[in-house]
Amino acid sequence: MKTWTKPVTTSVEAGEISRYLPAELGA
Amino acid sequence: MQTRVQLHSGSMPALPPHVRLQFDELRQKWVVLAPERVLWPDDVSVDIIKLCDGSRTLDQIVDKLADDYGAPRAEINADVGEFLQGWADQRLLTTEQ
Repeated sequence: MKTWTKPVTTSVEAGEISRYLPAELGA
Repeated sequence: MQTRVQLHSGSMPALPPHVRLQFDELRQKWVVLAPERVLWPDDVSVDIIKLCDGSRTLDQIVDKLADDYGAPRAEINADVGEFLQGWADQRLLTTEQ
């Protein structure tokens, strides 16, 4: 059984963004 | 100016065409791609987002998560409602109702 925790999402605005892009998008 | 989408128990949330959930093979993590931004959801967030396909109401999503996680429905309802409303406010979510 999985454990419920409050959902959290890290958001990165456009600008450093190349460090976070998925590899297949040519980071 | 668009009116704020107010989610309710009968809302059927879905990702709009310009927002995409995909698995990043390199990092072995799920990622949400949106215009001019990238989001890294945690495991619980991913489970919520995957259920937002426009075919389930918010109530049905909460029921499914409560069943999967074996957690109190009231707690999940509050967390999911807050999470999805936040996404809707950022235009990362549309709703059928």
